[in-house]
Amino acid sequence: MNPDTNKYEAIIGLEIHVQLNAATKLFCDCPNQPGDAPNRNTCPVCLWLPGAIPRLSGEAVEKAVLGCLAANCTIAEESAFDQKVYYYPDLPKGFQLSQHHKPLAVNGWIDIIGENGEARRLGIHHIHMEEDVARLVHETEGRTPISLVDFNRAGAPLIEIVTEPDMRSPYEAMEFLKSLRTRLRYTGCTECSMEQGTMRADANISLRPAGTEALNTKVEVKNMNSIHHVGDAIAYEILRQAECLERKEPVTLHTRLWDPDKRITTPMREKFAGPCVPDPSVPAIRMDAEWLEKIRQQLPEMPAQKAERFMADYGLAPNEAHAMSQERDMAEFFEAAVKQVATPHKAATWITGHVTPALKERGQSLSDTCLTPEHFAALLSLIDQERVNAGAAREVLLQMLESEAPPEEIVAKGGYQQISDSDRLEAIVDGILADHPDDVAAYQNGNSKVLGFFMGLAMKASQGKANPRRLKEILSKRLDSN
Amino acid sequence: MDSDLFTYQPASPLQASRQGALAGTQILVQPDLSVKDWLTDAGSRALAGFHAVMDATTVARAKTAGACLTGSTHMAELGLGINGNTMAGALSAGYGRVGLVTDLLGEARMSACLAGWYGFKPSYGLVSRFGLVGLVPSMECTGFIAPNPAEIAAALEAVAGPDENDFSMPAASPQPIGPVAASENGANRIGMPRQIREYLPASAIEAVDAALGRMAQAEFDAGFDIQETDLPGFDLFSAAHQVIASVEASSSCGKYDGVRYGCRAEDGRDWNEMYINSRSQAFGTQIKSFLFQGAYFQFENYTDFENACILRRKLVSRLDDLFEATPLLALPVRLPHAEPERAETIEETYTAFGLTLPANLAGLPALCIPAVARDGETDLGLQLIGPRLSDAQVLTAGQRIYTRIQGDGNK
Repeated sequence: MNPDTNKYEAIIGLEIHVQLNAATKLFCDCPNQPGDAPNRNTCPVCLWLPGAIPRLSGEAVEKAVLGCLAANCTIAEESAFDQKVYYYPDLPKGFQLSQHHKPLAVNGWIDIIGENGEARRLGIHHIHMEEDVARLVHETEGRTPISLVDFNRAGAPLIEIVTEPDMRSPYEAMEFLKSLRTRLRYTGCTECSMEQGTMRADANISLRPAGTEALNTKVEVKNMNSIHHVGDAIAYEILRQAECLERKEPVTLHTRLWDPDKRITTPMREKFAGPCVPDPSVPAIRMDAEWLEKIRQQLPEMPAQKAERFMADYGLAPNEAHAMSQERDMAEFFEAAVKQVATPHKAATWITGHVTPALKERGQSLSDTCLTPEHFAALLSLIDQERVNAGAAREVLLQMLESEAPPEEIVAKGGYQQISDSDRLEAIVDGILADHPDDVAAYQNGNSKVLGFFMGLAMKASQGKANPRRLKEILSKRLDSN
Repeated sequence: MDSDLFTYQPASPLQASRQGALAGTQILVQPDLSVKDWLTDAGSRALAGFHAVMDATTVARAKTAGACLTGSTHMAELGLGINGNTMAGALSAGYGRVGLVTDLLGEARMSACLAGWYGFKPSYGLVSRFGLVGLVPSMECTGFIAPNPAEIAAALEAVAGPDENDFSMPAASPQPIGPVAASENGANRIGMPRQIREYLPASAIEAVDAALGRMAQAEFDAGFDIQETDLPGFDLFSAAHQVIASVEASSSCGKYDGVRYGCRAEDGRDWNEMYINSRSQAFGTQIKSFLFQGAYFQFENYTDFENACILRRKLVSRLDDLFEATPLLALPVRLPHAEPERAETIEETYTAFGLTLPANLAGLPALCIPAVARDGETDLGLQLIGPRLSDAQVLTAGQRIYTRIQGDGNK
């Protein structure tokens, strides 16, 4: 059966866990490095041995507040931790410290551009802090299945972002996540990578007949480890629920797991709803207005504002401005390069076309390389001055990632200077034309495509260094005068 | 080791320093207070075999002050009540001069009262809970038993104060306890809530009135002005305490799963059954019913828990108002017919501690003065209770009374 999903409107809300990159865990001094050798980063507090008392980390609160501000939330004057009671081997004290009754921040939003190109403001109900739980590793010992517990992650600082049920399509959910991720990364409070598990998104989905207002029973979907998977899982779940409704089967409140290989969701358990009682040991967080203002000052210009400014100040096209503002380090690199006389459009084109792909291929970020805005701007100047051509400049750029030498030096040492000297170019062109009399004849019989063929040969003969503009002039002149 | 009295007794007393305010003072603890490497089972099979991995802040500070730790005595399971406590016996037998007893319902005051010693529960937040195997984090704190208020004050002074390991303590440093002087003129007015009379038989009321009367008169020359005050809804303290304490206990005990220490059931098809079986074997009847009660409010009736929290705030503010007019309150420690040392059920325990638990619910300092209010053979004990962080005033008033009893402080 292929139900008509247009009959229904999808109501989608997200619950997003983001791991803060604070140096320590949320309630003790253990390093916040879940990836270390198992159970290395533990102490009586995060192992919850008898007699231990949680000690709230100031750095974690600071980073959480930064994240909340980036999501346009209002910071609560008083927030407090509760015990979310449940029993599972990943939580050996029987409750998770989380903020249920008094979350850190409320009433935020993220702006996106919807599918029809119109701006949409998607609400955030609240953001609260909580501790991560231990990681379970399931193995077998001989034929016996065993489960191991790694406490490195236990107590890692998280914020959970709970949205309003404002999204209506997988596209909107994905755009929300992309924008949220970009903004959070900008603050420097988190790496925010779904692939690496520092951002985890669960989706709550329900359907209602188009044009009605009631909120129906929702289904929670977990286990998506990329933004695309979130979109795919939601799309699948909309289809599945529409089929249920067409068959007049009731939708029940439960949790489903996304299976990325089979691309379906499967039922996991009833949705968890345990008690949350105030924790007597962790003192309430009372916001000091002056302190909060200091944190607010740390908040960088956000990507959307930056993009608008890039369009206004540097005349970038909307898509260029968007690309230049997605990552804070790249945006700052772009702007610094532009201040070094690089033409904004050229800088943006080179960043999108060459710098970003090179970093991606190497799995590096800008700070991992030797590339500076000054050197990058200098390289673009060399191109403008026709001292190096685009092809050679690409080679030089790759070397600049690994070398602190200025581009002029790399060009000189590597012999990348562009050949603009007419005598040398003419000699190259003459040699090629002499070797290919048939193709010269074809050109003269009106086959203009041959020009491109000769350009390629000539460029190759110059080892890629020929000034393409001069080369084409000479080639055309020679062919036309022959 | 005298195993009738001791859970753990070191081969030789533990003394880290021979100098300091407590130099040479022999201190006994209970096995819910962490002393590194000592068996710390809190009187429960749920912690069987657990040896503390660090010193509690109180223990570390007492050691630094020159105290000598002589052992830990048996205690009621997880510190709820005093059935099975051997602290008073061990102190009376001369094993220690000061006993540290966790007070969540009135255990330190009650043990002291039964043995004829002075017992003190400090203000909540004055003494670090770091290293305390707790049951009811918002009510409990380390209490003191000693022969007189001055020695309690000395021990308190040595261990009290802000601790970077316990953020739940007030950030502002409370006033120092200071040496407690017998002659100091402190609070003069003492109020007794008239509602207490409903709880006591005529003979007990007579005994308490007589004790208070003597304080006001020349016999003690302490110059106290005794007044009757009004504390309506006194019976609500017990209800609020029980609901909140059981919920906190249920959470506190979540970690006792028999996996890393404690009693572990051998049967069970999976981890969940292993948890359930271990817990059903580990806990005694009273704790079990307490945990059931807490889980009931957590899972089934959260509204009543919230109401209890609202009630608690109201009762605290009612007491605050009372202290505006009367700096100290007086109450007996025990009811004449209750037997706290034999209480086996939650109901019996809460009945027996009905007069001491208000100080826990409200986080107030409370001192038990022995041998001044006797109803026949029973020492009812007299509590002096002051506003939060007025520990020094309470102990000073207690020391004035002690000095008069002893005849100008010869002892």
